Amino acid sequence: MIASATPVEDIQHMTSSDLIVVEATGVHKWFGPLHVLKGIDLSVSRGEVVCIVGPSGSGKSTFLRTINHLEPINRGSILVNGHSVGYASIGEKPIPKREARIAHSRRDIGMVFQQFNLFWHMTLLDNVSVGPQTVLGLSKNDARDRAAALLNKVGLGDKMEAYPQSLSGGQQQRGAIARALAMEPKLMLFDEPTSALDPDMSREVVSVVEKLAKDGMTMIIVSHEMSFVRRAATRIVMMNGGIVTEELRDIRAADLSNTNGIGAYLNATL
Amino acid sequence: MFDWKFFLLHIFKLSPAYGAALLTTIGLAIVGQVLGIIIGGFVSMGRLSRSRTFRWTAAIYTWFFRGVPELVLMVILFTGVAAAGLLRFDDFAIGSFTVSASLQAAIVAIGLREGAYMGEIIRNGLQSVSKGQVEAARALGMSPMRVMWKIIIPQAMRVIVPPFGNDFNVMLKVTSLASVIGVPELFLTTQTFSAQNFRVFELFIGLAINYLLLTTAWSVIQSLIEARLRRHESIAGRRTFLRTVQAHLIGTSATDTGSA
Ligand SMILES: Nc1ncnc2c1ncn2[C@@H]1O[C@H](COP(=O)(O)OP(=O)(O)OP(=O)(O)O)[C@@H](O)[C@H]1O
Ligand SMILES: [Mg+2]
Repeated sequence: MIASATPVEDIQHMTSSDLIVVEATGVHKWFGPLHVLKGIDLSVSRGEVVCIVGPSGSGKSTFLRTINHLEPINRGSILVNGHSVGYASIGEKPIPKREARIAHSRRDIGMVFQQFNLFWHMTLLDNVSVGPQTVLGLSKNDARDRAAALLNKVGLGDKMEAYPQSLSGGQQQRGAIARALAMEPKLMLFDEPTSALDPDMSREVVSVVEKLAKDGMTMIIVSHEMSFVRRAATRIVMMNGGIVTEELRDIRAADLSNTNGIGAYLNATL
Repeated sequence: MFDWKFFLLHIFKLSPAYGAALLTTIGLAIVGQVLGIIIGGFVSMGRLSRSRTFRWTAAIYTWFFRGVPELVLMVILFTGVAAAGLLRFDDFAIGSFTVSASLQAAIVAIGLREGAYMGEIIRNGLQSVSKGQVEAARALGMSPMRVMWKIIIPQAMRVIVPPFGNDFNVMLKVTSLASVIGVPELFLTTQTFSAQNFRVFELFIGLAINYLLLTTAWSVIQSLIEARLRRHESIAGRRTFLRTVQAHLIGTSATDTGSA
């Protein structure tokens, strides 16, 4: 466990706007005729760990992917650290940025996928160092040092030269987290990081995420995994039909066994 | 009677003309192939383009050059195009080596033909790269160019190399068609020899062995490239050089892989 400079609890009591990491306002998204996001408002402060839950098809993944502009949006705005990732100007007629500029804005946002998506043609060490080396321009040695340190931190110090397909799912997912962290992101997005894993492997991943939470990393996690909710989350957001239907703040004090709202949903599905 | 003495001398004691023919065949195949890869790269991009015009242009190109026999292409390029006053190939020299007009026409014909086949092979390879891999790279902040060079091309290579290897094998043999427009490659040179001494059988058995040597050498090279591209699969440890080549040439038996 690594002590963070500012305890999470303290950060949450600050409200200054420069502590807002994600500010989504009225986000709408259509896939052809399908209206998937119907006006999402969500604001996430530094150090918060927001868990998004909700039924299948409610738009959780889609919303997460709009935050780093893997999916463009049709209306509304999303600011990450005060800047739009995908648009040069927002408002009535948003102007999309050039791809290279979008890529530049994504550096600060780490993403972890359900299917891990480690680059199968690279060793674990290369997977983690390729970002810092090619995107951030670190020297090969510096990038490798950074990658090695992170792999040690997620318990993969002895697997650096292994290729992804020789690793267990849990190891791959921890590797994928290390790959995202190597960019030193200010925000981490997780899309069902444990749903392709069996319970033992899930635990490995949860404990890595829990450590990150203790270090004060800002995270948005789409997951139904109860242990995330219990051990890392500071807030639960429930989505249904493309809107946020309910929020539960200060969940450490909240009673998750209550019989209505999010508590009921979690108890029914988990 | 098969003249063994003549046969062995012919095979093992390369005459200068025959050595030059060998180099011409290899050179024609390699230069034509490189040209084909470049054209194929563009064709595959056209096939995958968002623009309808590019998609159609690439599709028509592929349709045409896969459908017209190489032999016909060579004759059209060497004689027809010049006769029509469109383009005339002229001899030019690189140092002491003269690139004859017929050789140029053959290279262009082979390159155009290869472009069509490579276009399909490369397209297949590019399409084999999964969306998740590309998204992970984009999420890291890689620009489209970086994603292409670091992720898509290396991953597509694994799918591209096996059919590419087979294609180049065909190509080594297709070069013999250039004899028709007078390129002094292996086939034409052998024919010339046989017209001089009438040892047709010996000379052409020798020629067959020559092509076999070329295609076999290429098979070995191909197996090494493929083994390198499959490093990530080597969970059970590295294979020896001989095992790699053997597995490529005659396949791997069930007992080798240890499966029951
Ligand atoms: N690329 C796409 N093209 C068309 N429709 C899509 C696309 N991606 C998602 N959808 C649709 O949008 C809706 C929301 O999908 P999304 O994946 O965001 O849901 P989810 O809440 O993450 O569900 P799950 O819990 O099953 O992962 C679904 O109806 C889905 O079919
Ligand atoms: Mg989803």
